[in-house]
Amino acid sequence: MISGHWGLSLNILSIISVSLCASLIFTSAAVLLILHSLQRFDANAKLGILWSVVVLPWPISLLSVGLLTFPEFSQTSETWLSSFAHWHHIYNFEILSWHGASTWIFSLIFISVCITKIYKAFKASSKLSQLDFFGENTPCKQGLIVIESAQCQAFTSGLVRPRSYITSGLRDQLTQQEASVVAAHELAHASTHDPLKKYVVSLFTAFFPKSVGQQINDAFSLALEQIADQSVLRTVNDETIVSNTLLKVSKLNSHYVGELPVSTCHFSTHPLTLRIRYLLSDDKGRSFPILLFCSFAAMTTVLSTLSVDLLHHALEQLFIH
Amino acid sequence: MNLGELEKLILQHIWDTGEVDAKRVHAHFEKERGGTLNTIQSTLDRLYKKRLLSREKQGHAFHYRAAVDRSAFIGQLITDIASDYGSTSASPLLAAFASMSSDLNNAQLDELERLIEEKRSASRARQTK
Repeated sequence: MISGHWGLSLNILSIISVSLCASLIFTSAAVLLILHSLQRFDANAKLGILWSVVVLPWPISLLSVGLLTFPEFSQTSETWLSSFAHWHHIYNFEILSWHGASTWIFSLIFISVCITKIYKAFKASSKLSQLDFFGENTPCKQGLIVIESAQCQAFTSGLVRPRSYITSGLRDQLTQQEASVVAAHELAHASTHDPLKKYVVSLFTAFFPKSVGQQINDAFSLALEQIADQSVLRTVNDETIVSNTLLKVSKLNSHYVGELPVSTCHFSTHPLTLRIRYLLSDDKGRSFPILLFCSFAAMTTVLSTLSVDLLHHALEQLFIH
Repeated sequence: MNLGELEKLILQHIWDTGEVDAKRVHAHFEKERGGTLNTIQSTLDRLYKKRLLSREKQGHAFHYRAAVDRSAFIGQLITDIASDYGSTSASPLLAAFASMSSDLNNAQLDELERLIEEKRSASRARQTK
């Protein structure tokens, strides 16, 4: 048994792990329910909702620590809060118990997710530096870096110093106006550090069930694209030109020949369709639902804290730790 | 595939000059970088093992040439950067102008073209009023 401040720290870690698990389950269920309604919101609101949803389980688990440990620290342990939820023996931690098991499992998952994500970021950065080295890349007048390649691609990458690229294959097939659309779109991604945002969100979603995490990543990516599409309108004030360019680049990208396979993405509607419809629509949708989100956050906090308390008591009742 | 600094320089050099042996590569890099013939030989060997070079023994020495041409290599690099290293979904480290996967069918593309044309006609009609 570990006692004292180390025991306290490990108990806090144990509460965080169980509460995080509970809030991830509740949040995942909510995500599955709301994901198809996301298109009713404007792109900035969607981004706000998705950021809040992925980050929420973490402050909730910290709040649970506060709610569960407060009665133990207060002078009078018999408070209204202690009857609602509490954690016994906050200074004593048994390694060979369910507390120990939950703490170790959580630590292992946390460390492995962090290592995997850092490794992927390192590999991507290494590939990008190879592209810079071998690509004989030259800046073009629109501000993009031109890669000498027959492929038809335009993209922005780089976590710390995002750079926007266009292949010579794509550049040569675009008109001046279309090239301006692509450049404005990619430079908008670079100026708002979208690759970094996507990476951070993917870090948070790695703790969600895989399919839910993937759907959040896709929805987040779509919202970023829609915001970048909108920002192009400051340069080219015509939605139809932006939409046409999107369509043309998509066709060139996929070497559009004859019948192509049906969409396999998670949305019932293809992201390109959603982007073009969003660009062309006069009503961009609702703004961030603050009241709804606050209610959901409060409800999830209560449910997660209660889940920790219930699980704690149920296991202690059954197994005496 | 990860490439070290010297590996990148040598691969670039071979793309620029064609077939080489270790001595000629060493002679080229000796002035600007220094380094021993041994280092060049082992770097060429690593590039061969990574299947970026092919080699043929001529006399006592191996002669190396590029096994992959520059444009194919760059094409593969772009694909690697765009995809999440083998998974089908897009990389979370990149924002692409349009989806890099071919998953829209003709009917969906026609529908999008119709939507754009409708919007264009509506805008024209508004302007002429």
